[in-house]
Amino acid sequence: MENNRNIDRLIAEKLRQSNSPSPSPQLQGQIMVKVVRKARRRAVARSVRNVALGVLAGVLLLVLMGVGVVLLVDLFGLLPILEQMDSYLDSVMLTLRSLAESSTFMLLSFVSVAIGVVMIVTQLQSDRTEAKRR
Amino acid sequence: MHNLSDIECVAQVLDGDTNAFGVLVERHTQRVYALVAGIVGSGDEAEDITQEVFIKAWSNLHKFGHKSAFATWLYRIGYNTAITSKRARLRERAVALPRGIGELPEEVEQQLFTDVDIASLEVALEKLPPNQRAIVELHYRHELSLAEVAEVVGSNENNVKVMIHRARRQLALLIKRENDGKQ
Repeated sequence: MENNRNIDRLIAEKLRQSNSPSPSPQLQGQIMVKVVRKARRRAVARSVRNVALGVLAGVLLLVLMGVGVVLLVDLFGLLPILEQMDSYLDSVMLTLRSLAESSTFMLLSFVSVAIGVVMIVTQLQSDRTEAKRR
Repeated sequence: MHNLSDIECVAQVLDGDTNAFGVLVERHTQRVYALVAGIVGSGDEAEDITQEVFIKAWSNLHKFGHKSAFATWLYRIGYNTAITSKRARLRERAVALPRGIGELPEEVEQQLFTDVDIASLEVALEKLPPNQRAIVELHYRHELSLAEVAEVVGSNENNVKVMIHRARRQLALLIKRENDGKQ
């Protein structure tokens, strides 16, 4: 037992006296360059994902609103009443019909996608500025 | 920033502060490199693996569960990465170790370790299999306790104790063989 401890002590002392190998001075810098690159890539991926989710939620909300309007018109029998009204209301009806035929939704979708693209660009720019600051 | 503890730095990195990771890199590069170089030998490969270790640590920092010290967790990544790399190379080149483990009495062992110079001890250490060499490095050179070494290599304390004992005997036999060769 005593011998064992002595041997342990001897090995430990000799290994600690010996110079442990050292990396080149550039190693820390190289590691940090890779980490910063990865951090930027990760931040960009996160922004794109967030914006995509936002756009998806926006489109879904618009679709639900459209379906809701059509259902309300059907449910309360608004369409026949509207049909009996004067020509002024014809335009309203046309709007509702076109809404039901989704052409308006297409337009609104384009608008929401355009807003999404603007949001992505803004987010990417702010991320880049933030990464540069760090 | 430099007076923050490892745990505080980890928390800041998880909050998105890359500079805090720089502090951890600065603090631990030397020791991680020494451990990796102890397994694969110093040079470009050890530097590449050290880089890989820190990138892995950064990518998986959210998995660091504070169950052990950050340094121990980092060593574990270093050990696993270096051992995997070394094993891949060992498949190509088998290492012949001396037979007859346990033949030397403890008194002879003690005498061998008393007389051996540091360079010869390092040469003998390089001839050990990578896992034994890593354990010797961690326990003797880096002063990790048996429990910490067990944490790093993913084993238990008793196994580590046995492995250290075997590594020590293997070292003694290698030193003896070297001495016999000189005479």
